[in-house]
Amino acid sequence: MTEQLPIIVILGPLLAAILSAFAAWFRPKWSHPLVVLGLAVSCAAALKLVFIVAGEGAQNYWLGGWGNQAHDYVVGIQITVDSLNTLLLAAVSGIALLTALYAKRLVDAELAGRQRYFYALFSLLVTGLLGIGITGDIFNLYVFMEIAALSSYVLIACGKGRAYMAAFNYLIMGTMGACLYLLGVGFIFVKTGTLNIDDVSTLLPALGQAQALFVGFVLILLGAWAKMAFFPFHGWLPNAYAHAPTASAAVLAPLATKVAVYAMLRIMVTVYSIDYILDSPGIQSVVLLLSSIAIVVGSFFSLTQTNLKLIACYFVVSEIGYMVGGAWLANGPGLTGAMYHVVADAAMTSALFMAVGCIVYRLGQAQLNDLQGAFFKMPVTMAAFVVTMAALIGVPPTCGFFSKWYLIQGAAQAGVWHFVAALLLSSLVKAIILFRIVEIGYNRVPHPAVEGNPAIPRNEAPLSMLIPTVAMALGLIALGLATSPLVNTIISKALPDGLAP
Amino acid sequence: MMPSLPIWQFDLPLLVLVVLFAVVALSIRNLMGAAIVFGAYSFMMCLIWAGMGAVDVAFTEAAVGAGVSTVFIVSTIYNTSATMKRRPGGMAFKLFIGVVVTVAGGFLLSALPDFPDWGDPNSPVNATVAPYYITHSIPDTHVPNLVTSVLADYRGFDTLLETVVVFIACIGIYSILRIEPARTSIDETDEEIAAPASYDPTDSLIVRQASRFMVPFMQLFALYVIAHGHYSPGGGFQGGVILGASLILLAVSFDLKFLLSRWREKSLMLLVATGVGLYAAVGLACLFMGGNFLDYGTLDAVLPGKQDMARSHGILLVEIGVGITVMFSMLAIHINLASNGRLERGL
Repeated sequence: MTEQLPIIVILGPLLAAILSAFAAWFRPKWSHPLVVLGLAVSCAAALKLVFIVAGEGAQNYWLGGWGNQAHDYVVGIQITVDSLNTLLLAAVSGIALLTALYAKRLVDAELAGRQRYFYALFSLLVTGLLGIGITGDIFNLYVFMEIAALSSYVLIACGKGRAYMAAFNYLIMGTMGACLYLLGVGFIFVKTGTLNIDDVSTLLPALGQAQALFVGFVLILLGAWAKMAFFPFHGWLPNAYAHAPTASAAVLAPLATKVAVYAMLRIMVTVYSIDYILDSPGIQSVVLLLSSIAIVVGSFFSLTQTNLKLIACYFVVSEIGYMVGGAWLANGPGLTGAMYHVVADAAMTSALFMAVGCIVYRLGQAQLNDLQGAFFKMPVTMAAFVVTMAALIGVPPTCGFFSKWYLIQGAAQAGVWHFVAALLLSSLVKAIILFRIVEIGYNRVPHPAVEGNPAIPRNEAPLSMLIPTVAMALGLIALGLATSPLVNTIISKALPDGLAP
Repeated sequence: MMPSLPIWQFDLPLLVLVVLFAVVALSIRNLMGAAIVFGAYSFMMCLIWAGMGAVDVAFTEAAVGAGVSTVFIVSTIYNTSATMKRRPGGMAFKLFIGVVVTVAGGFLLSALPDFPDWGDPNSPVNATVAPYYITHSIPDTHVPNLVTSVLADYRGFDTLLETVVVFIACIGIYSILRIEPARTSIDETDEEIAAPASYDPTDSLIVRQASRFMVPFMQLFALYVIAHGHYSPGGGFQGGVILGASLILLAVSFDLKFLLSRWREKSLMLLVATGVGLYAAVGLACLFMGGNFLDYGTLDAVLPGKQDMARSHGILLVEIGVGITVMFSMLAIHINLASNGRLERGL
């Protein structure tokens, strides 16, 4: 039974989505529980796989039983769970499960009359994201990318007002990214004749510095960058996620960009190799510079915003810079930091958007000025929010501290000082924003505990939203405390030979 | 370069025409004109695919690219506008775009000398997995059309997911466009009632009779395309599109009400999910029979014949699933686009 676990990770949300589309016409109330059930199955399988991978190493699964019948080449589609993606799969399915529980009230409130297919689309989005994470085939990855992208366009366009335009801009950018990726896959296929990631990676070294492979590599990178909103392709993200329904943003912001980062890592580390990157030093320094600019630009714009959702969106833009930069440092600590930060940032962004969602649910629009007295109205939500911000700033023992630690270590080792400066600047900016919010939310109103001041009624978010939010915030600390076992048993094994400590 | 094209006397004019149509489709101001030129562009692409020997791709391009997508664009224009606003773009912006496009094009072309020759039997693509498909398709799956066996069996997972993509497109367009009757504001309903119903310029006896005559033959052909996909170009996608097109033809030549009196909205949307559900169920059945997901060979216990025949039948089952989803998705997308989500009157 355990050998079927990899496909169960995908089938959980996929079947749940199809059943939920049926239920939408007979028993609309069942749509939500079906999706939660599917995600729970997927999450359980993904967690089990983490332990199996840590103990026994990579798990391969061949769809349709088509393994390597053709001598050494795989004729079918392979899905693989190894030390590079197992944590990502667990994080994606776990966050998706919590978000599905969390989203119910928001969907009822924001999408009244349009929620018929919301949960099916939600589940299909998660299917696509998990698929990108699990597949061992570069074309299959493209198909999953399409599934994730199409469902996220719809999830964004379900919103009101400017959501249509934001979704349209995202659609143009996302389609361009997918086209570039597919073109790159075509170039690789022409030179190798196979789409299986393992087979491509064994064939590539012999082909050396063929121009077609270099063009393919650059095209795939550009495609992944457009998908992950890396500077200078970040323009679509803030509007798309800020105008999307809050429930959609809560699942898209943490997961969609991080999975694209994983895809880039997979192409860099497994399909091509770190040596390939080191042999073309011109791009490396350009990408590192772009990463620093991404961090600075994201931080700068987050300072200028007055809307909490937009601030959170620009955080996402700057965090992408962390991961791309870490990966392109191409040394042990840098790659460890990038791989760890994919999971840590997914958790942090999820907690952030959940907390923001709770605030939006109770206080309406999330303008900074609406937050006056928020700490007294929603103490638990705001506590979770502060923990999350502390993690984003990088306060120990949260996970944000450890990823930043590895990244700075890697940058110092490579001597890329502008990246170190950008990382520290970004922490500083987040601290400023946290203090600004504390100032507005806590200090601007007369303290209700003091005699004679007006009492502020508690207006906490409903429990179905509060519990996932608090769980996620506590998860950040738990993830931080679990750093060394995770890095030692799993992430360090994903590093290419020669870089592992 | 030129002589290495297989029949360059055909391919050269076709490639020139493709570029020409692309430029015309982009530069034409009237969107309806652009849609028509775009259809012609797709048809040229279809001829090029056919010239390359990729008949299945050509078939799909003809059915989807030149066929239904043109209808979708036209029905979108019907509800929006055929005129285009001139965007104020400065010279500097145009120059920037020009530079980006030139650099990108040059970069792509720089890989060209690296490519194997046209039809080179020793190219990497012909050296790794392709020989396996050629020698094993019949013993493995009993399917002579390699495209079908690769598409629906060896890489059947991709095809399941592509069907899911069609499914998402359908429920996505439905979620965004559909306006449930209860949510229609009173003004709009009044306006529609007030519209004169006495003369309808689209109501033509000739068109009705002609389509009444054509539809059964289209549907028969589509069923043949689905069922004969094992032996000749075709399969669920192409057949499903043709079936969908036959229903769209009915919707256009009669009206939406006529069509919706036969296919209610609810059953339409349920059938869209049924097709992809059937595909997933076949895969799941293999899982329960003890094989991997989509390993049709394990179905030999319930389907007639040995393993290779079980695979052949499994392929047929999933092709039917694909056909159902594609057919009703095309129809559902069309009626939502054509009626602006109201499903009352439209193109």
